Order: sequence, then structure tokens, then C-alpha cells
Amino acid sequence: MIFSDLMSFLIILLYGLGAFGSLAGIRPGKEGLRRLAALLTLAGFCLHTLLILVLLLTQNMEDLGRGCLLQLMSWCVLLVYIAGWRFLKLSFLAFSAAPLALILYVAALGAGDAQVVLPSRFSGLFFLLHIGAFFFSYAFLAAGSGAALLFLHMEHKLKNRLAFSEFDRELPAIATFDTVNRLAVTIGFPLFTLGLVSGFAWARGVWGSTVSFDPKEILSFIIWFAYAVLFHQRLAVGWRGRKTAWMLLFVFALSLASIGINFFTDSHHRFF
Amino acid sequence: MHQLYLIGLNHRTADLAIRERFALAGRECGACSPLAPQGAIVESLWLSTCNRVEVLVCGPGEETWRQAQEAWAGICGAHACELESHLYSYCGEDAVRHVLRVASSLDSLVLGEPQILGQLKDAYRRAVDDNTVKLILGRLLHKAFMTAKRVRSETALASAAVSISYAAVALARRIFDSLSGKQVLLIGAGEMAELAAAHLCEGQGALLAVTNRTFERAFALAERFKAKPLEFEQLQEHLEQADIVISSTGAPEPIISREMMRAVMKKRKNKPVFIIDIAVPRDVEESVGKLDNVYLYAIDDLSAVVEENRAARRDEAVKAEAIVEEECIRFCQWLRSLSLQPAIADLVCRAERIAEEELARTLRRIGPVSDEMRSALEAMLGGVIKKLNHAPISYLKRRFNEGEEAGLAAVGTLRRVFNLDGEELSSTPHPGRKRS
Repeated sequence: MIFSDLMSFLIILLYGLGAFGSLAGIRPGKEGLRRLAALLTLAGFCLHTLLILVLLLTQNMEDLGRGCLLQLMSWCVLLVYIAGWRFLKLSFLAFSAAPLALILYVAALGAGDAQVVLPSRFSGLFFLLHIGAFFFSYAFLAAGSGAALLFLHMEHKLKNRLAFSEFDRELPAIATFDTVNRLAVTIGFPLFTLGLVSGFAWARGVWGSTVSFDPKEILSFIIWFAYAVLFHQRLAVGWRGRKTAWMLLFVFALSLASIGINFFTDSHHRFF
Repeated sequence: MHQLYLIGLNHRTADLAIRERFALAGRECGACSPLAPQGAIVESLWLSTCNRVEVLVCGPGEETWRQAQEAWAGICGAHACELESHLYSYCGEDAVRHVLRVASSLDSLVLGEPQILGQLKDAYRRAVDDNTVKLILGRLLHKAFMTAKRVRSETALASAAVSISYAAVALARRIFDSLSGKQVLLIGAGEMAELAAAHLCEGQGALLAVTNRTFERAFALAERFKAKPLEFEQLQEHLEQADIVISSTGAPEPIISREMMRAVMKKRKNKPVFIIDIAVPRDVEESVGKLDNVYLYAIDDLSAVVEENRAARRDEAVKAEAIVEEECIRFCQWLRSLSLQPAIADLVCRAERIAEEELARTLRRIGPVSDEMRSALEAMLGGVIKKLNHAPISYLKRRFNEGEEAGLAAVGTLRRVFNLDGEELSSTPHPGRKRS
């Protein structure tokens, strides 16, 4: 317990310093500060990874509470952000990664107090596939939504010939935001589908019925349908830009609602 | 102590004809610099661009810049008084500030333009080759380059485009990840459109195609830009391929309608397109800009962007001036500290001489010692000298940072206290004073 408390303190400290540095480093000529903030965020992420590994290895699946699962989700979101930033050179993700990490981590700690014990029948690798696929699809949606917001902001400025602020000048071209949107749709939608299908298949195996029509399942159907429309329009019809940005934001808002709904309704998804 | 002097003329003090007459570029006589150090000129450097000609010299007094002015006028086949009415001159700290401002492009016709720094670097390189810069000018120029770098990285002075053609390139960069491989379609001709097209393709890897109502004109333009000539009749098909369109025809009615562009976007699968309409009257219907993924800028929009950028640069110039001032103070502190060097050198020499004498006397008294022992004694004496000298040297530097007058007074006191000038000292400290 002391180990996890100490680790949590260090992680919050590193994410906090990273968030402060990355936001203060938005101004031009602060490359050094930005680099330092990125290093602090990466260090926080390494500790976060270590903490999750320790939790997964030392605790039973049944004992994983809502806080731990939220922590796992925040880790997935960060992994996608850091991968996009490091490997696709999407540097704009760097300044949003640390603040997002801080918010999600603190939220995970807050939810951790409201410990809801995971039913034993939910344990197992298959469950991790269901949860993991959903968490990563949420992570892609989060990154895509951030890019969609910035796309709409820059598109508004370009279309209305407004002056660019110092913050705007540091941002990449709007085509880059559209690329992130495309990745969020082309990778996120199959992951979401995998999460949904694996959940149904597993529910059939355990309870004998594929669908129980709890509120989260109904909302997940709606999200999947909206996501599928976006996937189709983007890949087959060739939608780009503003329409896809708004649509992705809509899907992300529904996903947030589907996470939030667990806290208010009584269903077999109440553990998360 | 040597002083810095700068004399020059620029776009504000002299018109083009005068600047041409007194230009120094191209007047090098073989391996000899036009203003080689001689007489009162100890160090020199000249900068000659289309907007300014400046001579920076370092020497003992006012005769330095007078000699530089005469040499400059002489090289240009004129008399010094002809030059004088167009000149501005700076001395000491003002000269340092001016050099830093010029390097940071705060004194340029177009605020924040990048060429001046390159020109100053060329001037420095030439002066180094000619061996006309030494300690002071060398250090000043390095300080100027460093200040320009700080201004560039810490302010947005040079970040916004201030010409129509560069504004078009900057906007294209806001829309596309990279301009490499992007198809630029130039419709019609015109100086500004051709300039914008040239800037878009120059070093960016964009591919240019040209179309015109008369194919011969398109062909001639294409040859000039090494581009592909296209038939004007198939404009819609060409638009489907183009990522950036620059239109500048003399057509009385728009040649690109909303319906045409809607069909084009469908064919392009909504790939973004940037249209620059430089024509007056407009070549592209205004409503085309309302279509998704179409970014339409007319000549007035680009002019407004340029004007906003100019205003932004003026705001940034205030920050840049503060950086220049900070670096100017630092350089002047260093420059002032140079006059400390003889006093410090004398102080250290005196201490070393005394230490050597005392060491020799001690060795004579104690007899032969091993090499290790001798080295240890020398190291100990070296340490004692350093520690004893530290306090007076720090005191001198502190007084110099307070002001030149206080610094010079401190040097005088130090020289008297340590008798650095080797004066004969009487046995009584105040021979004229009566003993009580």
C-alpha cells in the first residue's frame, strides 16, 4: 500500500510538472521547457506502467476496482498519445498528453475510493480482450477528438481569414489533424467492434444470452452505429475535414456518456 | 582603451543613387580590404547591402572614425564632406546597440526580414579572411549573431509573412502537411501570381502546371517555370488534380463557379484545395470559399493577412528591443572590463615575482629538496597567489560594473596600494605631514 501511495505521489508530481511545463512551453522559443516537460511526462508514464504491472501481477482480477480500471484506461489513452507523438511526429499531442494524463490519473484515484469489487466471472484473458479493445478504442477517440477540436479551431480561422495567435502558430497544418482523425476512425472503429463482439460472445458463454439490454449495452449499440457511419463515410465516400471532425466529437461524447452511465445505473457493467 | 565607432547610411538617410555611389561591395582591390586597419584604425568591418552601407571601426579616439570616413569616401572617388550629410554615426554603447539591432533585423526596411543576418555573417567572414577583425569586433559580431538567434527564437518577430507571395506560401503550410508533391495550378499570368507560384515551388517540391486562354502564352510561361502547359478548355479536369490554384486572369466574369467547384471536390474525394484569387475582378465566385475543404483567399484577404502580420511584427519588436538592450549591457560590461586587464596582469605578475623570489630564498636556506617537494611548494604558492588576488580583482570588477568612472578610480587606488607602477617610495608614508 505504501509502495502504491508513493508511486501515485510521484506519478502525480511528474504529470503535474509535465503539464505545467508543456502548457507554459506553448509560447515560441520555449523548446527547452517543452523538451523537459516531455521528459517528465515520459518518466511519469514509465512509473505509471510499472504501477499497473505491479497491480496486475499482485492482485486478483476480481479485486480490481473501478479506480484501477480507470487507471488502466488513462494508461491506454496516454500510450496512444505518446505513440502518436513519438512515432508519427505529431508534436501537438505532446502538450496535451501531460494535462490529460494528470486529469485522468487524479480521476482514477478519486474513483478508486468508491471501490466496486469486480465479479469473479469477469476475470480472465478474454475479459482483458473485451476491456482492452474498448479502452484502446476510447484512447483513439480521445486523441482524434483533440485533433478534431483543433481542426475546427484552425479551419474557422482559415475560412474567416482571422489572425493567428502565438498558440496557433505553434500548431501543425490542418491536414495533420485530419490524419489523426483518419487514424482514430480506421483503428478505433475495428477495436470498438472487437470489444463489442468479444463482450457479446463471452456473455453468451457465461450467461447464455448475448444481449441483456442494460443501458450501457444500448448506448454501445448507438455508438457503434454512429462510428460505423463515420467509418463508412470516411473510407468509402471520402468524407474529410469539418464533417468528420464534428462526427468524431459526437461519437466521443457518446463514449464519455457510456462511461459515465455506469456510475448512475445498476447493471452488470456497474464495476466500470 | 579602444573605442567602437560606426558610420553608415541606409534607406532612411540616403536615396538609392547615393547608396549606389557609396556602396562598398565590389570595390575590393585584390586581396586588400577597402578599409584595412592602418593609422588610427585598429580593427574594421564593412557591410554593404542594397539598403545600407556601414563601416564599423575600433580605435583609440575620434580620429579613428574620421580616418574611416575619409578612407570610405576615397574608395568611392568622393570627398568626405560629400558623404557626411548622408551619414549617421554612433560611438561606444550606441554603436554596439546599433550593430545588435541591425543583426536582429530591427533596423531593416521590412522588420524581421532574415537576409540581413546572412549579409552580416558574410561581412564578418570577409573581415576574418582579410584579418581586419580582432578581439573586440570579433566578440561584438558573435554577440550580434547570438542576439539575432535569441530574438528569432524568443519572439515572433520573423514568424509571420509580410509579402503577398510569402503570405500565400505560409497559408499553404497551414493547410497542407508538406508542399512536396502538391500540384500547383497557375491560371493566367501576372507578376504577383507568378511570384507566388515561384515561391510555392521553389525548394518546396511542389509541381507546377500552367493554363491560359491562349495556349501559346501558357506554353511560354510553362517553359519559363519548367512547368506543364495545359489547355484552358479542360479547366475543370485540371482543377481536379490541383491542390493549390493561383488564378490571375483578366476575365470580366468568374471562371470558377460554386457548382464547378462542388463537382471538382466530389471528384477529388474532398481532398483540401487552396485557391488564391489574385485577379481583379475576381476569377472565383466568393461562395466557393463556403464549400468544405476549400480555402479561398482573394487579393484583399492576402493584403489583410500581410498587414496584420506587419502589426504583429511591430508588437514583437518591443520584446526584441528588450533582448537587444540586455545583450548590449552585457557586451558593454565586457568591453569596460577590458581596461582592467593591464592592472590585473600587473597585479598577478607582481605576486608571482614575489613568490618566485621568496621560494628561491627559502630553497637556498633549507638546501636541496626533491622534485616532488619543489612542485608541492610551487603549487602551494600558486594557491596563495590566487586566493590573495581574488579579493582585489573581484573588487575591481564590481566597481567597473557600477560605472566606468568608479572603475578607473578603483584601478588607480589598486595601482597605488600595490605599487604596480614601481614608484620610489619614501621611508615615511606622508613626508609633508608633521608628527604630533
